[in-house]
Amino acid sequence: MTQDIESALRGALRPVEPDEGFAERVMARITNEPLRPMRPQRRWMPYAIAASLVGAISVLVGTHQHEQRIREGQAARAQLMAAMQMTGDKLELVYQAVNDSSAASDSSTESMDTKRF
Amino acid sequence: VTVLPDLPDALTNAKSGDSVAFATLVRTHQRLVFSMILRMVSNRHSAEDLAQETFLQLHRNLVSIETADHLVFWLRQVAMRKSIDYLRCQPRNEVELSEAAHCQDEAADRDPLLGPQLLKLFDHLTYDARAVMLLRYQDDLDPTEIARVLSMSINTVKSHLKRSLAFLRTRTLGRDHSDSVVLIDRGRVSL
Repeated sequence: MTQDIESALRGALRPVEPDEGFAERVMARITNEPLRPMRPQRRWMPYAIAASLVGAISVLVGTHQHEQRIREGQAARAQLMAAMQMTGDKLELVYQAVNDSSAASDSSTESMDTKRF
Repeated sequence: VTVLPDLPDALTNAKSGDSVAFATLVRTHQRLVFSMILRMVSNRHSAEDLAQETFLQLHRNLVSIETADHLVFWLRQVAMRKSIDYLRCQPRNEVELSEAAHCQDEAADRDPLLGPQLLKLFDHLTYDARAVMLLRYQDDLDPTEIARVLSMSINTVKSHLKRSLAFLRTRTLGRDHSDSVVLIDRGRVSL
């Protein structure tokens, strides 16, 4: 029975021609619509876009890394300057202490010589 | 549709602006497009308009057509979309009796009883089911090809085929089809 229905459907739904002059009526409607010339296919476009994206990302990553290195260098320089400042201060203290002690020993020697004469 | 040997040439020439070649494309495919739309909308005047619009759209998009097979695929897809869009915009039960009778008369010479009855019932299928059945029984496409044209899953296509055949069979045989759930919505039947 399925085959009967299917064959009956094929018979009932068989293709029908449109009225005479259909193609001419279609062509009349498109007379004022000139065919578009064939555009060259830009198959390279996706690859160019992908390459541009990769290039842009590389430049951004490189710039970021360069700036990070500069920031690290500046921080290390500041640390070095602070350390040198602290070392300078310590040396100044030591220098003063040494000067003070030598001045004290010189004055005590002079008083002893005076007593002898 | 039998692809004529010179059709690729006609396609190439039409793409470069040859209107005679484009007219050849129209003549070669007008039967396919018109029949499909006529069976969908059941109105010869509307079918002519929609078929013309399909070819106008082809004219505007000719650059994107790559081969003769692609052309047929594209025409089927656009004709079906235009038909379904048209049906969705129509008030229910738009089918003109005179047009339905015309369609029935054309089928009557093969089977004087079953053909007209099937066509009458065909108009009560959902739009998607109608499209699936047309591509299957008018164009002899297999479910995979139908799924591609209508952008459906193969299972949906098979389901439409099975349910629609069951509906037509029960109705034409005059059986008690109380086991079929039939919902009438906007002039169509969901199974």
